[in-house]
Parts: sequence; structure tokens; C-alpha cells
Amino acid sequence: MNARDIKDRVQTGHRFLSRKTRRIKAVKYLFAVLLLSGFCYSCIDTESLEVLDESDHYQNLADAQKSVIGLYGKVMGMAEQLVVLNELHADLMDVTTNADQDLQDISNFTSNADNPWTNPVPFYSVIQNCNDMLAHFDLMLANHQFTKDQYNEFYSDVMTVRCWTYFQVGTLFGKIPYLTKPIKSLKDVGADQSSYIGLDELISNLITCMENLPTLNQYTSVSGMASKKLGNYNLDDYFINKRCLLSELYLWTDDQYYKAAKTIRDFHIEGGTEETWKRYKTISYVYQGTFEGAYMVTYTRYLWNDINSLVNLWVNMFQLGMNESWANFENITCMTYDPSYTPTYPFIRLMGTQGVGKYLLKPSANAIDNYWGVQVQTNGFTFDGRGEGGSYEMNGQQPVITKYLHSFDANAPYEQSGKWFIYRAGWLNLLYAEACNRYAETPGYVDGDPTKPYSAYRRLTNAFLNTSLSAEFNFTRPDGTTYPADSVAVSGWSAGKEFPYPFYFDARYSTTPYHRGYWRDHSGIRNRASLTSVTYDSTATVQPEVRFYEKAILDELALETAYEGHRWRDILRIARRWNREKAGTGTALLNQVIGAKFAKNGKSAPVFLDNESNWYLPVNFQ
Amino acid sequence: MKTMKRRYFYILLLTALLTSSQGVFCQSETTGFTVKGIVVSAVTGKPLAGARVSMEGSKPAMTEETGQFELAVVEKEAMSVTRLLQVSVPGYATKKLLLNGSRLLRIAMNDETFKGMDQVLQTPFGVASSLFSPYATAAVSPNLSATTKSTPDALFQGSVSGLNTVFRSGQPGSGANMYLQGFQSMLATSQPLIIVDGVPYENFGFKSLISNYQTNPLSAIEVKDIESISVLKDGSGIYGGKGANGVILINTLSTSDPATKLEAHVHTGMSFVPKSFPVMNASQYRTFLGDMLASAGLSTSAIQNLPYINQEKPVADKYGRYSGNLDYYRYANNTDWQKSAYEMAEDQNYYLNVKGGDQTALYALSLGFLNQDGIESGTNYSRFNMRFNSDIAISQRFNAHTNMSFSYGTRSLQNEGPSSSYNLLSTSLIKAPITAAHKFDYQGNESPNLEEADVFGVSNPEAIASNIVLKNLNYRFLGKIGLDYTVNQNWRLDGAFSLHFNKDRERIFIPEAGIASDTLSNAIVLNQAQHRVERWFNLYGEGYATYTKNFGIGTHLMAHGGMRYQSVQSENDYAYAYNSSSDEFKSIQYGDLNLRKIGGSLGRQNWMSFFADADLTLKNKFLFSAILSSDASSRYNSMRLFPTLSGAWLLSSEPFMSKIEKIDFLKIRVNAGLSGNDDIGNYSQKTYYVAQSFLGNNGLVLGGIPDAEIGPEMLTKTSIGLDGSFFKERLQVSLDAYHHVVNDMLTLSHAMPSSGFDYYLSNGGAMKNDGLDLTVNGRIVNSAIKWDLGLTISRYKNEVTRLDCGTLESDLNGATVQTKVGQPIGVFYGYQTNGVYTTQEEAGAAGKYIMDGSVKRYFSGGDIRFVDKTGEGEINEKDRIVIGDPNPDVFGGIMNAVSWKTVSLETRFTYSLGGDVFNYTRYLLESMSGFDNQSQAVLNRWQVDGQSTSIPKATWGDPMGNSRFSDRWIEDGSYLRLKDVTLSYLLPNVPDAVKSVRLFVTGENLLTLTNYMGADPEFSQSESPLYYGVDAVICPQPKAVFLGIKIGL
Repeated sequence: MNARDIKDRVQTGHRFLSRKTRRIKAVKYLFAVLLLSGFCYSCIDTESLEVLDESDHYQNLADAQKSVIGLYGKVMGMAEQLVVLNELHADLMDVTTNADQDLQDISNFTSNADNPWTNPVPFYSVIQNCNDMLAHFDLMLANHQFTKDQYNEFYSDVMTVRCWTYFQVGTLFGKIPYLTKPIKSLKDVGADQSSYIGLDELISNLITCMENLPTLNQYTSVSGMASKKLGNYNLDDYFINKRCLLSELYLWTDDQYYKAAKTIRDFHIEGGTEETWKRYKTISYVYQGTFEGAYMVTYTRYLWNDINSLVNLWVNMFQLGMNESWANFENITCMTYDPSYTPTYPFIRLMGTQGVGKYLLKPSANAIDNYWGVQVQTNGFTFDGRGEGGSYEMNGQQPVITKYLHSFDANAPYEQSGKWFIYRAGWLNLLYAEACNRYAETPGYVDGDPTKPYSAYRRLTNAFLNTSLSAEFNFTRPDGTTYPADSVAVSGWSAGKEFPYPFYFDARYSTTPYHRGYWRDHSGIRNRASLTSVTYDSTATVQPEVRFYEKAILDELALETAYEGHRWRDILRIARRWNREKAGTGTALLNQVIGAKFAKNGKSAPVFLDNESNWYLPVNFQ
Repeated sequence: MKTMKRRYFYILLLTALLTSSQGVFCQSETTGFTVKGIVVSAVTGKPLAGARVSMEGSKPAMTEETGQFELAVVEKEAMSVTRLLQVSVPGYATKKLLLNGSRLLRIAMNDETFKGMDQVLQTPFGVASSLFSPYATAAVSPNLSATTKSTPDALFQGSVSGLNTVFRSGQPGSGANMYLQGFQSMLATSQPLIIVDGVPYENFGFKSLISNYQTNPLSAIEVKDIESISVLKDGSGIYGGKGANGVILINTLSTSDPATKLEAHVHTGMSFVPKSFPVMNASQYRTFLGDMLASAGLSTSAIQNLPYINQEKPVADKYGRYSGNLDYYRYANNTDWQKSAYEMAEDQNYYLNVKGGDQTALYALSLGFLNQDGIESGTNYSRFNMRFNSDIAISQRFNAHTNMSFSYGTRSLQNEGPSSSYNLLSTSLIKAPITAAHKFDYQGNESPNLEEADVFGVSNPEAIASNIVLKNLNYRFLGKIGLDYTVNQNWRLDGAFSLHFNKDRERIFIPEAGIASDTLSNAIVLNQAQHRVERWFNLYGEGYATYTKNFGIGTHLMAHGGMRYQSVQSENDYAYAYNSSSDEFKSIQYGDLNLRKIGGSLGRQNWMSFFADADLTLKNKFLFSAILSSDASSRYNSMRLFPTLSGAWLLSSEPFMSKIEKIDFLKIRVNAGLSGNDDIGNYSQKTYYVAQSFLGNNGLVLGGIPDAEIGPEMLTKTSIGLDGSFFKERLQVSLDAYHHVVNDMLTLSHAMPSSGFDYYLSNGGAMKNDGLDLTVNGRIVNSAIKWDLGLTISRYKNEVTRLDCGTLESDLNGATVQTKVGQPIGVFYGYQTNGVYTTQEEAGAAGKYIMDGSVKRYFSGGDIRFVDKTGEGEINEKDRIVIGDPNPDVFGGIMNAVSWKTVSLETRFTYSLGGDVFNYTRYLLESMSGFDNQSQAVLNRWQVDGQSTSIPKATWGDPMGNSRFSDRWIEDGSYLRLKDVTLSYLLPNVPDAVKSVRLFVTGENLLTLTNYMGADPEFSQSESPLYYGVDAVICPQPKAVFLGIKIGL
């Protein structure tokens, strides 16, 4: 080959190559192109910077924590709707003239499916996030990305949030879509139309879910979530209490009152030993009005009969910041909203009269006149400190719900902060009273011992509703003489014959021998508000005792927990139970309780029929 | 319908094949012949010597003194073969003719400015002749009038048929929104892809802190740097998923001549204050105010005691204590607030470019500076820009090309759009004329201090004009290196790599003094400062091979194949601060710690496309083109294919046509192709998580319902076109008829609530556009005086054909636009009115009412008579109908150029006819619901029973909703506008050192014919088609006059 040939070859390229070489070259090129396109395919895949891609999330403990934090951010966004739907759509709350048609419709039980207040999206947003988290937690466990202990805590908390949200949605809307799998693509949306279930099935599902949780305890240090603080806020206060939820769920069935009572007692001694005497004992202790931990409505010592010496410590539970040590005596799950961050506290806008307050909602005349207005103090005054000055205040002629307005500062009228009360001791102890009242209906005797009738458990109802454990179980000898202090004030059939757990309470206060029972300062809910007891008088009441107390507890729940987002659920629970017991009686109760609000306003009340389907809020799930 | 179309296509194809076969069979008849002719000047008819005449299959010839030439064809090919003949004479426009047979030709040459049938088109791979393009394309050559424009968008206005170019605002440096052949998208971008020197130049506006403003990327390009522009209406499939809105190719500064040339350009101008709105003066306003107060329920005495009504002047007693109405002087004014809003504006522009080089390297460099005041008080645009382009021959086969440009622009702007307390224009309209800009003391002495926001909560326009800071700074750099290597006569390789960087910095400060305060969720806003930085970074590379092959006379193939890759990163950071301790502390660090807000976003997108195309010219008669591109993108999951097929038949190349002297050229085009729009959001296909605030910490929650199948919007374009040239090229006509179908249109659908989301994005819609584009260019007079007339007429009909999300209603500035299957996108949807109830009796008889809660409120005398479509008595949402279509019936432009010797006059009219407009300004000024000043039309308001008028009564709060969105506010937005007119004079005698000196005077927007009552019928609030025709107190395009000089050295 001469120089010219070489030059030609260079210039004319592959034409000089043999056919075979060309084929090999072609294969080479093809391979190069394939390689290139493979390489490029990896080039076009981007990392999402603005958003977090699924593949980058749920890799470690921190990711799980971030998800839980995000989830609770979403939970806080439900406050407005849940309080409005459970309270305005009941008997204790009413709209003002400032309220728009949508709110009026909720109040009047005339809302339609398109009412924005019944938009289920915020609830299902929480539920779908839970579904997604639970599925990912399973994967993380399978991939050893966190330990079983960590998994147990995260899984249990997120499942609780889901159950709690479903419980809210189910009690408001009746038949709802029950979805437990995450949405992976658009095709999954609404694919399963058969997932609609009614309330009974829902409750049973939720109980199963909750009972199967790996743990019912709060987070521990294992997950890094226990005592975690964000800013000034301790996250322990925000996590939905699992036992509170489960005990409430048990009350929606007919045969699990024992479990309800036990779950509440388990809560009291969560962690194995009874919590300190202060926590959740609804104590009445102090007479000078200096001990903030006792949330009593009382009078200055020795001025019991002077209305001007009234000391309303009860409102403190709503006023105290959750970082105050006393606050936890009463509040179990309570979410504080920071004025600087979203989600924004919604209740000042709804209930306030200044600043951002639009004053849309107010206490119903029914609540003011028929509930708090008829309560009689132990000193004879007709007054309930949990009404005016407790749950609401008069602003001129306008009653204003103040439970949520304690953080409002007139000097900073645009700052919106406050608390959302989800579970607290007053509410829980009334639920315990309700469980005992029903459990006391069990025929026969405990251990077959005729001195131990089940019906004696109703004394706990009385203790928790009315007086106190120490007063209720202050047994005297048949001859009227007193026992030594260390042998009474323990819940039981008689002195020395104690109730078994979960009905056992030690309320002893004895100096010799020295003994301080955890429940020594316990007070019944009415006693804490200095109110006379509600007692059953078989001669005056046609109702059986169990129903009498049930109605009394329902009324007491109104007085104690008005506007905290329980009301509709409470009425519904009792009404459904009564209907199951005797058809029509529950419907009558519902009509009576709700009807009172309309009667007071001179309006015609909605009519609830025996068929439960018209009891629920219309909702659009399409 | 579809099969019919297909049948026509087959018939056409068959005819084409049959006629072509004739030519093939005749091939061997003759061997060798000559083509003779004479080249003359079209104007004088005199022969031209020295013309170079060339023809395929023959050696080129030069004309003699007699202008005659003779070309011998030696190859053994038939006479009937169509050959391309090309004639070029210095100082004349090069002429191309397609010719068959051996006739004696008389070739008339026109001057260089003449637009013949042969236009040089930019293509994605270089340049091509428009004669051989099977696509609908348009070439735009920047004319002299353009030199006063600060942004290239202006070049498209009226000059490209089918391209509806509407300026967003009259603020200096604002860009235009461009819609090519109707609307191609609802939620994704609707703007054409712009390619500058081969690099995709994303033309989406970043969201700004300044309301109604969006960054105009094109304004970074100095108009005078632009060498050529081509608009690809078809064939945009070569850009795959980015081509659906059409492609605009812009080429900047280049030279082919090594001689050093320098061009300097200076102009200065004035913009004039627009005609003011006829709003009420103080005494008229006072009467109106009295009525309003009375209707608000105030008693006469209470009204009399109001400080702005009470006429008791303050009087001092002997101790200097004042009594009477202390605020008297504050409200005893008659202020024309619109004077605060506008001012006369100046404009300066300096520009210089140098071109030159040597055998191996050619360069072009330009520098420019402009400073343009806006007519709105306090607005200004200044820009510095430079550009350096070079072409380097590394070896005979190896060339390098570099492009580099940098631009730095600063803008001072004013808020526009719906009324707010920071909006200068709307505030100046509604501000009570009885108030004053400055404070007064009790004796009526005016203080230099600015007055606070007034008692009605309206800001002081003077304070907005002078103290609000709304600044936008923009830096843009584009650098590109391109290489090409010619392998042999058939193969060529091209590669390019570019970097494109843009940064927008914005700073706004709204002081406390004189501005009505706003509220946050947790505080009252006194003053506020906001900063924002937007960064956009684009890496782009492409490489392709070109194969060309000649198969004989008039038959050749050109094919390309290659790939391109783009990676975009964007970042947006902002910080808001409120309530610094003084209006002098304008920086964000001085804001109240608790109220600070910071945020931002990051975006990333990668795109890769493999592409191939092939253009086959067959016997100079048939053109075939095929494009196939295949895209992969980080935005969707699977590869997408975008094929295009087109064909054209050059009828004039057929022997039977060549006998028709009147027709120089005739081409029929057919095109069908697919292109996409990938502006579907970066993450829609993925399961992803977004931040959720929880006590100031960010947790993570699900961000949306992932749609794994989401993909680009797919646009199927089918079109038929005709290009013709008649009467010795004196008349050029181009007509396109198209049918566009957008499938997989992005929609936001209502999600099932159990999904936890309200909406989801999906490809759930479809839309179609049918339209006609006509371009006519003609030389009307061709003598010593030359008159060129150009005309574009465009028309489209848009219709939504599928909408999975159901009917959409969008509220935009108080207007409701409806998008529904069977209708154009975004038509006005509201109440129909039928005048005003003249008497109470009449209203009572009609018995119409509205529901206020559960209360029926009946219309009474003086209320608007809304048409009760449902007939149920209640006037409610169900009574709404379509009350207007914002789409114009036709739009386009009329271009004239008349020249005589060295004097020339160019005019350009633009027009848009038949589009409806929601006149927000009039809605603001005739609603009569509060204490805002209103237009003089409300003097005619209903006041007494029996009064016959079209303006309803004034009622505080407008409880009956007389001002609701109805046909009262819909107007015909048709207009004809003298967009620009330029008179220029080229000095006949210039010193030797200077090549040329041209003086010119340009007028802009001097004349607008319209019945529209708003400030300006040309506006565009947003690039979203939904906003089309929704006006919102936007600065009008100013009338302006410029004086300039252009010197060539």
C-alpha cells in the first residue's frame, strides 16, 4: 500500500473496509448507540429538588419522624371542621347573624352534600397519608431500615391517627369509604366502590385495628419521638392517646364496657405503675385558690356562701400553656397552635369578636339556659362556673365562646394562637363513669359471691360523676361508727372488700399509719364544679337507673366538655345504644336533646327517624 | 369526515404521481439544448450587464451589455425536466426561477428590498429556500421601524399570519404573549418555542413579586442584533415534546464579508401621556357621595357632620384655638389624580456593531444601551447588552462557531392588574377627587408632606408613584460553541454545546406613608419589603449528522439524524418582611422578626430527544419531508414518538403550468404531524412528598395523586397550504388552512374526596383549532416610486372537545370564564341584562328577586333588569349564559412601504376584529357600590322613578348585585392600530469616511381606531388562554415619537 492509498483510505473512510469488517463496525456502532441511550436514560432521570421523591423517602428513622411531623401538621388542619361539625351540628352551639348560609345550614341540620364544611378531603388527606406511611413502615421493617421497636411505636401512632380520623368521619357521615391501602397511581383512586361501610362495621374494624397495635403506650426514647420538642412545644401533648381512643370505641359496642373501663384504668397506670396523684385525677384539693392544678369552681375558704368569693379555677385548664407543669394534670391530648406558623389557629376567627374574630359562632340559648343555667351549687346558688365565666362570657348582650380565646391578646389582635382540646381527664373520667354504669347492669355476682353484686360498680359512676371516691367509699360500720382511715376510701363492696382491677381505686388519706392513696384528692366532676349531686330516685323517675345515670352523664358531658368537639358523638353514642336496647327510645332521646336547641330558638326542629340513615350529615364522596 | 379527508389526500397523491411519470417517460427524447434570455431591470426595463446566471445542469453565464445570456445544456436530459435557474446582480434581489423547456426568458430584476417568492428560511439545521419547503413557514426580516423597539416580540406583530402577538402592557420593556394558530394548551405553556442561534430559549415568564409583571426573556435580545427570524408553523415536530406551540428561530448578528464594517445607531424619543378617563370631578363626586352615604343608612345630619362633607371652614379664636371642621382643607380639593399616574417619558438608545474578520475568522460584535422611561410615573427600563458572534474556519472542513451574549436590564415598575391599594393606575381612578396629595394645615396652607391613605381606605397615588419601590433586575448570559465537520460531499457532522443562564432579582418595598394598610393572618401590615431571586440554568447540547445526495437535476435528498439533550435547573428564593420601624429601612432584615416569611423552590428537568428527518426534492416538482423524533423526559415515564409527514407539489414546475405567464410559482402543501408540549410539571408522574408545616418545622406529606401515565400534550397538526407568486413576482400569496387537534390536554380534574386530594393533574382534555392564515405581499407601484403592501389575515376557531374534569369556571378579576366541551376555551359566562327597571311599578310587575340567606330580596326601580333565563323568578347562577367570546374573528396586520429615491415611508397597522373584552376598568368605575370615585357615566344613574337610563341606581354595598359579572361589562375589543410609522432619509452626500447616514423619524401607536372604552384594546394579562380578553387596569401602549440616526462606517 503506498502513501496515496493510505491518504485515499483516510479520505474515503469505510469504503475500503471489507464487508465483514463493516458488519462488525455496524454492530459496534449499534452497541455504542445502545450504551449511549442507556447512559442518557439515566441522565434524564432527575432528582426532584422541590419535592421529595418516593425513592428518597422512608429510608431511615429521620424520614419516619419527618412523616409523623407532617402528619400531625395535617391533623391540626382538621380542627376547624371537626369542632364545627361536632358542636354546631348539635345542641350547644349556634350561629350568630354574621354566619353565612353554609354555617347556618350546619346549625339547622339543613346542610347539603356540597356544604364546604362537610368536605371530606381534609380527613381523607390524613387517612391517605396514614395509609402511605403504614405501607412504607412495613417496607422499612422488612428492609431493616429501622428496628422492630421503632416500627412498633411509629406504626401504632400512625394507625391510631388513622383510626381516630375514621372514627370522626364515620360518626359524622355514617356510611363512608374505608380504605386501608395507599394510592400508588390515579387508577387506584375510587377503584374500590365496595369499600363503603356503615358505622357498626367501622367501629368493629377500628377496635380490631387498635387491639392489634403492637403497643398502646406513648412513644418512648426508642423512636426519638418521646419528649421531643419543637420550639416550646412538647410533642407528647400532640400525639393522639391510644387508650383514650380505644376506650371510647369500646363504648360504642354493647358488650365491651369492661374493656372500656379497663382501658381507662390502664391509661391511668400507663407504664406499669399508677401515675402520680396529680395526673388525671380531677382533684379538688385546695381552698385558698392558689393551687392551679386543682381545676375547681369553688369559693374562698370559709366564704362558701358568698357568691362574690367565687374562685373559678376550672377555666385554668384552658388557659394554662401546655408547657406549664399543671396543664398536664388535666389535658391528655391537646394541640397548641403557634401564632407564627401554619396551620393557623382557626377558632379566634370563628368565635372571637376582636381582631380577626368574625364572631360567627356562639353558645346556644339552650346551652346557656337549659344546661348551665339550671345547675345548683352546693351552697344553693343556681350557677355553674363551667358556663358563664368558664365556657363562655357575655360581651354586652352577646354570649361569646371563650374556651378557645384564652390566648387572644387584644394588644396583638392579629395573632392567632390557642389550643385544640382533644382528650382531657374530665371527659375521660365521665366515660369511665359511663362504662361502670353499664357494666353494673351485668346480672349476678362477681366470682359468684352474693356479697359482690355487679350492680355495686355503679357506685363508681356516682363517685366519678358526682362526689368523689373518698366520699363514695367512706364506709361505716353497721352501727354507724367509722372505720380507721386506712381501711376505707378504697373502692369496694364494703370496707376490706375491694373491687378488683380495673375498678380498684385507692383514695385513702391516713396519717397513722401513714398512707397516701393516689386517688385521695379525686373529685367527681360535679363536685369539682361545686355542684349538687345528681342522684337516682326510683320514686321520682320512671327510667331505669342505668338510663337515668346515662342521661345524667350525657348532660354532664355537655356541661363539662361543651365545644370541645365531642358533643355530636356523645349524643349519637347514647342514642344508638338506647335504640339497640329498645327501638325508638334512642331516636326519642336524639330528638329531645337536639330539639331543645330549636325549641329554645322558637324554630322547628329537625326530625330524626328510627332509620338511622337520616341522622348523619349529607356528604359528597364523589 | 376523517375518511373524506383521507380520500382527498389519496386523490391528490395519485394525480401527483401520474403527472410526474410523464416527465420520466419523456426523458430520452432530446439531447442537448440551450436556454436563452435577457436580464432587465424591472423598473426601467433596461438590460442589465454583469448578471450571473446559473442553472442546474449547465455552466453559469454572465450577461453582456445587452443583458442577454445563453446557457447550454449538454447533459442528456429532457428539456421538460424542471431546472432551477438563478440570477444575481449586485444591488438587486437574487432571483430563482423554476423552469422547463427552452423558452426565451425575460428576467426582470428588482431592488434588494423586494420580497420575491424566494425567501431565506432558518431551519433547525441551517438555512433553506422557501421555494422548496413543504411546510407552512414565515420569514420575518427586521425592518427599520423595528429599530426603536426594545424587545423582539414587536417584530411579530401583524407580520406573521397565524401568530397572534399581544403586548402584555405599555410599561417599558414588557413582552408580548404569542399564540400561534389558536390556543394549544389550557394549563401548560401556550407560547412558541424560541430558538436563538440554535439554542432553546425558554420563553416562559417567571412569576414576579410585581403584580401582572412577568419577566420577558426576549427583552434580553437587542432587536438590532437580529439578522433573521423564521416561524415554523409546521414541522415543529423536530423539537418533539417542546414543539407543539410552534417554533420561532432567531438568528443574530453574523457576517460573511471579512471587510470591517461598523454601524452606529442612536435614537431618542418621547412617549406621551394617554387620554385620561372621564371620572367625576369634586362637585359631581360630592353629590354621588351624599347619595351613597344616604343609602348606607346615614341621616342627613349625620352626613352633614362628616368631615369630608361639612363645609365649615376652621376658624381660630383669639387664643389660637380652632373650631369648625378641622379637616375642611383636607377635603376641599378638586384633584385630578390621573395626573399623578402618568407623565411624559423619554427614551434613549445607543447601539454599535462591528463586523469583519479575515479568511479564517469572521466576527460580529455589538454593544447597546437603552434607557426608557415609562409613561406610568416611576417606571423605567434600562438595559446594557453585548453580543459577540464568530465563525472560525479551523480547516477546510472543520469550522467553529461561537455565540456569546450578555444582557443586564433593570426595571422600575408599577403594579398592574385588579385593584389593590398598591396599584397606581386603579388607585388614581378611584381616589376621591376631594382629597389631596399633600397635607394641609387649618389655615389651608399646603405642606410638602404626603397625605396618608384617605378615610375611604384608598392609598395616596402620589405616594405610590414616588415612594413605592418595585424593581426587577435581570441578568442573562447565553454562550454557545458549535462545531461542524464536513466528512465528504455527502456527510457532515454538527455539534453544539451551550450554556444559558438567567437571573432575576426583584426587590419591592411598600412604605407605610400614604398607603392603605393590609393585614396578614397575624398582624396589620404597616410597611413591607420583599426580595426574590430566580435563577435559571440551562445546559444544552446537540449533535447530528447530515447526509446530502444529488440524484440528478432537481432530485436531491437531505437527511439529518442526531440527538439533543437539555438539562434545566431552576431556583427561586424569596423573603418577605413586614413592619420595619421606619419607611427608610427598606431592606428585609429590618422587618419584624415574627412576621418574616421565607420560601423558595427548586426545579430540575432533563430532556433528551433523538431525531431524524429527510427532505426529498423530486424533479424539482415534488417535495417530501419526514420527521421522526423520540423524546425522553424526566417529566414522564415512557419515550414518546413524534412523526411528521409532509409533501408538496410545485405545480408551476409542470409543463402545462409553465405556459401560464401570470403564474410564476405555485406550490400546494400537505402536512400532517405530531408534536408535544411537555410543560406538565416536573413531578406529576411520581409519588412525592412535600413539606408540611408543623409548629414551624417541616414534616413531609404526600404531594399529589401520582399519574404514572401522564405525558406531554399531543398536538396533531394537519394542514393544507398554497404558496403562489404571480405577475412577475409582483404578488405573493400564501394561504394555509389547518386543523389542529390537541389530545391529552392537561386538565385539573376534581378528585374523589377519598383520595385525600381536591384535584389531580392528568391528560384529561382535548381541544381543536381550525383556522386559515393568509399572507399577501405585493408591489403595487414599481417605478421611481416603489410601494410595497403586505397584508396578513388570520382566523381560527377554537373548540374544547373533551374535558374529563367537567365544565370549568374560573374567576378572573371578577369575570367568570367558562371552559366547556363544544365551546372555545374560556368564554365569558355571566348574566344577561336588559337595561334598568325604569319604575318601581315595572320592577314589581316583573317580580324578580335574589335570595339573601333565606330572605327574598326583590329588584326594585333603578336596579338592573337581569334576564331570568330559567324563568323561576329568582335571579341566580343558573341564569348565566355565555355572554362573550374573547377570541377575535380575524387579526393581522397591514404593512406599507413606500420609497422614492432615498426617502422611504414605512407603516404598519395591526388589527384584531370581533373579540370580546371584559372591561374591568369600567366595572371598577361604574359599580357604584362604595365610596370609590366613578366615571362620569354614573352621573346618568337612575335617581327618580320613571327615569329611563342604562345606569342603575347607586346603592351602598350593591345588595342586589347590579354590578355582578354581566354583559354590561363586555365590550367589543376590535381595533385597528397604526402600530408604527417611520419616515427615513438616506443622506445622498456623505464624507468619504462614512458609508451611509440615515435619518429617521418613527411614530408608535399614533392612531388607534376602536370602540373599546378601556385604556387600550391591546393587553394581555397572562399567557394563559383563560385570561385572553380579561382586561385589568393595565398601562396602555403609549403614543411615542422617536428621532434617530443610523451611521454606517
